[in-house]
Amino acid sequence: MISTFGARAEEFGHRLGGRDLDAVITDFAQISLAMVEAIRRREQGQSFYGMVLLEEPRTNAIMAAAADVLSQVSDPDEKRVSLDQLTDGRLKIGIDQTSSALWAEDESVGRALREFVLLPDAMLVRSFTEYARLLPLCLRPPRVEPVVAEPVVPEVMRVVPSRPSIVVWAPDWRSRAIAYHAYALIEFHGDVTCVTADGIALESSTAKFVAAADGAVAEALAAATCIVCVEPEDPGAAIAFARRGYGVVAPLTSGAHEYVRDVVTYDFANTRRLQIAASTGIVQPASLRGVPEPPPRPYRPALPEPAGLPLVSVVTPTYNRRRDLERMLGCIARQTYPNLEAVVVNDGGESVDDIVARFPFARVINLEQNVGVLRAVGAGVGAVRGSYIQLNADDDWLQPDHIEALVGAMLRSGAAVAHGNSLIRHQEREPDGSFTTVGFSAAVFNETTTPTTALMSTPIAGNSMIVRRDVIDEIGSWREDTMLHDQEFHMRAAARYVFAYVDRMTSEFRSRGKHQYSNTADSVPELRRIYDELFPVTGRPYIAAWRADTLERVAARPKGGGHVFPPTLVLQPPIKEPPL
Amino acid sequence: MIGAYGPSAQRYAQGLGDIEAIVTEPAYVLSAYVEAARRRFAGELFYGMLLLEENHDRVLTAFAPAVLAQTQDDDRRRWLLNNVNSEGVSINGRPGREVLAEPILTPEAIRLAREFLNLCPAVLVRSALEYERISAALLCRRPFEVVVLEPPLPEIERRVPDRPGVVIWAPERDVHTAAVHAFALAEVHGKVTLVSADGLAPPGTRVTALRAADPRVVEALATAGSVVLTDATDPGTAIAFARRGYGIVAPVSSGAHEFVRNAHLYDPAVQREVHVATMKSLAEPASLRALPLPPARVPEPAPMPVEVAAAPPLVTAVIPTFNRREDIERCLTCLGAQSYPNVRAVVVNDAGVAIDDIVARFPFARLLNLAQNGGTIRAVVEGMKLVDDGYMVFFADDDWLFPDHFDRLVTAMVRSGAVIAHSNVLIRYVERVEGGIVKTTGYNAGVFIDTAAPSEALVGTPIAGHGVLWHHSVFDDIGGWREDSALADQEIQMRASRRHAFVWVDQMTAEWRVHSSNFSRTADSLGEQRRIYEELHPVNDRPLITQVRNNTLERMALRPPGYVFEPTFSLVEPVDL
Repeated sequence: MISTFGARAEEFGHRLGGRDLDAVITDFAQISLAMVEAIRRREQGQSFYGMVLLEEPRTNAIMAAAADVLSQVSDPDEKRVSLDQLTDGRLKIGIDQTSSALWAEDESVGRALREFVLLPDAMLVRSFTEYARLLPLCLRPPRVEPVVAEPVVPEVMRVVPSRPSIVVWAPDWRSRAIAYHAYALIEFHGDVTCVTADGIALESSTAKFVAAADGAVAEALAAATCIVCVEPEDPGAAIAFARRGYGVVAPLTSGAHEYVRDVVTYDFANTRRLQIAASTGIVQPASLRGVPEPPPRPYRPALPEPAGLPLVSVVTPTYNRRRDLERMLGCIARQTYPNLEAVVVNDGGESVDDIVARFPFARVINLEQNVGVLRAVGAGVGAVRGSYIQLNADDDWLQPDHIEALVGAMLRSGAAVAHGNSLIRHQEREPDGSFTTVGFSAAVFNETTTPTTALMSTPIAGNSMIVRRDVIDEIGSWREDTMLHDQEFHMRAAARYVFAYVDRMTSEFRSRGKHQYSNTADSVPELRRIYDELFPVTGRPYIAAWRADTLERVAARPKGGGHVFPPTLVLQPPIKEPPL
Repeated sequence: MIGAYGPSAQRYAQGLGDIEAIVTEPAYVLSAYVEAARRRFAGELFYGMLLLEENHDRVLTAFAPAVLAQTQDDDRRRWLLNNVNSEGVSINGRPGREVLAEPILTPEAIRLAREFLNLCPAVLVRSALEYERISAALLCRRPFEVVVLEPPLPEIERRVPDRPGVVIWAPERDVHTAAVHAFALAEVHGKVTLVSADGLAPPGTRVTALRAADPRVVEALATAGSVVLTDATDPGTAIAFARRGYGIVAPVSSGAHEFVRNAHLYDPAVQREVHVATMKSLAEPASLRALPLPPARVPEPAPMPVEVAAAPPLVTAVIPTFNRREDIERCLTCLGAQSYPNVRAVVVNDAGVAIDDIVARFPFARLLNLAQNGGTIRAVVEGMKLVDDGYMVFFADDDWLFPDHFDRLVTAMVRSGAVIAHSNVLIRYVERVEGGIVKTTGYNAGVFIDTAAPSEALVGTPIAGHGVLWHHSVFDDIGGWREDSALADQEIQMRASRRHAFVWVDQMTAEWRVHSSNFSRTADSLGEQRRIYEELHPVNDRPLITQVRNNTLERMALRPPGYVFEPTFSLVEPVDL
């Protein structure tokens, strides 16, 4: 299914139409809404594509400002010079600003984009030119799949032209938005027809303007040999016209040249480029190289060998959180991985036997008295039957493909440890004991470590890792004497094992504000003990310096509760947790 | 046939198969340029390919061994190799960021390479990314095709690994140039094998280094989950390994992601990225997208429209000549060699030595003998009177058209409905030696490689006179050449440009010969230029045009007498024509 957010996304999604494609497509401005949808899909373990219709900022700013620039200058040569200064960023706007300010980056929107791309299996792009624009906005190069959607263009019977004739193809833009193009072509000795959404003629241009719905469009297309495309990011129209054998001129930023042989590109460097592009685009019909096949689904790699898959044990300590535990076991039940068991350790709390009994793959170890989460983990790990161990809290959540993806990665690579990414879900407790989701953060547990960086800390959530049983036999289990047991374990494991990294969001970590049982700021002494006593490092001054920095940073965090990592996406209104 | 210049080009060319191409490294581009000029002269269609290095990789392979030698502290090494692209690390006393951003080629090399590509009908690139890199570096966009070359790999029977195995595939690198990759994977707890040219392990690494030919390479590949590619510009090897289902780690500059689904990318300037991408590749194997079809053997231009092919319109060349029997013969030969089927020539002998015997040998040519020598333009005007149909071109007896010139220009005009078309023109510098032999002494492929918009034409055009094909109706409309102007070509282009579109075939299809004995023109014609500006084509109320015209006059006044255009390079050993 294709979900779209924003008008441009809707239009693009519409063009993808009947394709069997799972995708979340969004305008840049609607990215927060798209992120909520992406999170929903990940929770259900869906495999899907993400797509952000990135606007190429410079081109769009030029298109938006050109009409105003033209109306403020009267001399025709100066108009051209002004447009050129606009495009190279030198045009003065107001007193001390130049036009380059029009497309200066807005940092605040970048963050939402960075997190959104972490959720889908891969990003759809309209061209690799677009991918190159996306790359610097991402934490890491995301997986990518090209997709092409051609708009519908009128079918016409073409005639041999008696004089040069070009069509500026902008059916989705108001005339005003293509003032730049219309003016750049003003000296073209031939017919110039601009097809725009409103068809309103521009004072600054001698071109003929026709509304996209007008019958005259077909006439103009029949006589034209060259189409000037204006879409700054979408090569679809260029492809559609190349298919029909027209000469095609398209913005360089659209990536049309990746698909269309002999397309003439212009890059808004100056009006001359466009003018010249038309005079060479008109002599040479474009043709198609190859248009990418529709993206495959599902995207993720399959398990290597369906038979004889090893048993995976999920260890979950719990204490008086029946509701959470039930949800947790529910997400285990939905795992796509076929061979698993759950070991629930009731840490001396109220009975959960009835809940566990409802899940045939689960068994419970009831401890006589409350010994604390660390020792409860120990009891659970000691009782597992599987050869792979997944450890998580009762209020965590694993996406349905978590175990499959990680175990698959381990079997394929021979790695004894694998981990994925973890989404932070920020929750607040309601008076009735239920929790409400108030926000998300996708970029915190979204990284891997190296043995050296693990000596400081790891950016890996405890619940996003699976280890092979023999790792525990070799280096020992989670320590029962430190609240930072995940971090300590990662540090120990990283010193001996490869961490195969499944760069997908496969688990959720719930941050419950002041109800959080632990808080990093309070853990400075514990971190110091790990650094100084458990893993002292000598003769590595860089490590010592980084550790000192880390301690300082942790100490600076607010003490005594609160979300350690603030949400990136704040939900308005918050989402009530659905009843069980 | 493939011409290959430089060792990497020769290696690469071996796999290209049956294709017409000239492959060169920047350092050898001069030889490639000469061959390209030679091939165009013969009317051949071919691809050009420039194997341009990528700067991050280039700097890093030079910088990493120095870093590894400079300190024994691995943490410091890592820090340096993670932060080259920042202000904090300096290379030879300059910020690393600055060095990484530096252009790879000198301005002279850029100019040579750009002119080489101007000569090529189309270029070959290994990815769209490479096209972007080269186009941006050379400020030159040519038509292109993507070519994928998978190198042969040893036969491998893959086994399920019992522990992580990674192969760094660098068969063309050595202990120095593979250092950054080997070091980046120094912390991998698994089997890391470096396959390199010398089989030496870089210091500070724990890799097993093997020569490419070592039989143990096959064993390492059999149990490896991932292959780390090092080639910064060629995605071929990544494609070959992806076909075999490996996890793929590749430099982002290689463009591997355009062909390989799930390729994990790194920037070699951040060694940590190599490690992280490798960990990801172990988790997920790669697969291939549909690869582009191999390019056609030659970059064929679009065919002539059928209605034209059935009845090709007449093209007439008007050629004034004066006492240059060898030249007129050569010139008629090039007209005879045109692939376009309907060509005639009107040779106007400007009262020079008789050439009747020569012209008689070319059945498509007729001769007009003038009784009195009246100069080139006068001769053109007389010749024109004999033409009342189709298209016309005017050129000097020592100009030269490549065999596809008319074909391309007529097609362009018929297709577009334009009445004027032009193409690009190569300048060839020649010297006459004894016996009428002409030797080539240099080239310039960077002057007549542009077109002019009407406003620009008011100042001047970068269009060579004989590179223009005119429909005869133009002259009915605007009149013919002025007989009184030494800058007649420029003047008529200026005049025509006010009323007609000049469509432009952006291909090198003709030659303009400059003789070392030429008396020229431009500097000496300052007065004529001023007359054109002020008397023949005055502009009113366009202050910007006036200003640019004044600048042009100033520039012309500074030129030495006899100035034409300097050759881009001169041949040390002149070549026979």
